[in-house]
Amino acid sequence: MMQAVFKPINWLWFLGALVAGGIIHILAVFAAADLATPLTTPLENAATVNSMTVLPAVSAATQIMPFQSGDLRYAVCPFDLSGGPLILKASFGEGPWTVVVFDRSGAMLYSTTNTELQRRDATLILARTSETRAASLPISRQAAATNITVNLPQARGVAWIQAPVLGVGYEAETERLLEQASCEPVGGFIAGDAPAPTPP
Amino acid sequence: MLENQPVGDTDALVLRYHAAPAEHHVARWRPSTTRTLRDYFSALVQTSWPRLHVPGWSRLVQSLAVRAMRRAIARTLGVLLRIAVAGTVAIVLGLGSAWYFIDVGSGLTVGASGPWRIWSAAGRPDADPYTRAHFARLGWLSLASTEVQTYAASIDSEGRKLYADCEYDVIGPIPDAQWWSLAVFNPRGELLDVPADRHVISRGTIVPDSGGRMVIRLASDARPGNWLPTLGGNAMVLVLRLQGSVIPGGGRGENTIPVLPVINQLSCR
Repeated sequence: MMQAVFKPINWLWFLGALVAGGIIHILAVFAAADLATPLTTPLENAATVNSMTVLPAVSAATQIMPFQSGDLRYAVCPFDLSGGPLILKASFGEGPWTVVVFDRSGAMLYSTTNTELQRRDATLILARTSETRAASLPISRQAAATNITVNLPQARGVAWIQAPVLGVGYEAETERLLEQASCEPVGGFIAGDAPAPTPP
Repeated sequence: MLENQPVGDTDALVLRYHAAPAEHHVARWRPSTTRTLRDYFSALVQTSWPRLHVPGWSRLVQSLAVRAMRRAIARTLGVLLRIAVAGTVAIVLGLGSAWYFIDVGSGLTVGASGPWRIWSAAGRPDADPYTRAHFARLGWLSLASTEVQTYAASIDSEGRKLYADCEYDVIGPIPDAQWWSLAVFNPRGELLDVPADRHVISRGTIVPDSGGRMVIRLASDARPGNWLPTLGGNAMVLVLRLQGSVIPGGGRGENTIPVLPVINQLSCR
């Protein structure tokens, strides 16, 4: 009887264990990748949705995200496009400034730098792919042509502007430019339209 | 009266029945240190169905039934044991390999140059599930590797783990990048709570040595030059970020990693 119980595991069982192990491996990897807390959660907690918030200079006490480096300053805009597209405006200073858009899972959907744009400022229209496909953006054609339209597959995510910390002499200017940055629903503002005539 | 008698090639005991039929119903299983399944079955038959218990014939039936039962139980136990062993192997293998490929990575997901490692699909929308799981586990919101190359080192150039109570030199050419930085964290990605509140050396703050190289000293006490303070005795991770760097080859893989600095351990407390 004991011999029958402890009969060596044959190859079929071994193969079964390998297949089951493979299935467990795949499920564990996908669970770790897709069921984790959204990577943008700390930023969503630290800033107001659909508005730009300048994060404090990074130190051990003010660090919000893991591996957030102190050589950069950030202005962050957690967005929710379910109410319509957003307009993000940024002005750039010295060094490589970057505008980045992430989805909630941490995938970078868009980025651009001042050196790529060869400009001192940028206006981005963040819109859902479905809206841009249907050409239903509440902006003029001129605005759509002159500004950068970022098509996003999901309604929620985070956009940020990161600026390099060049040194003490640049701190005030960097802070000022980050605070000038904005992120707001398109609403009545139609980017790129002719300015309203100035009253006499 | 029951009498135990050893039987030939098995260790079983056959119950011999010498009592009169009228006494059958009083036969009971008696605990014994040498009892077997066959004993039990025999006693059960005698107790429950005394009329079936015909000496000779019933012994054969009992023997066959007991053997069948033993075989069934052994088979069931064997199957259960195999399921348990195979299940344990599957769980250990599945979860262990998942943890390894998420934490450490493989040649398909991670590029290496000395102690520096880079997840080549970091931050990309088409990143493989191992890369996504790695960054999700760490909570690390990283720019795509096409924009910023992020190298992490948790060992020195001789393969020893980095500890905050040791002193290190990070020596190499100044990275050919629009922007770069070298920062020190604990393995959870938190900045070390050093009194100097200095956690990073970047392109904006580096002072090259006379040969134009970067020499960064990691130590708990202040050092002249490019000093990056450490604190405590726990493990630490160095993170080197290169933005807009010129990558030889221009593609993915081992040959796209630029020359990175070496990490030399000087002393430990």
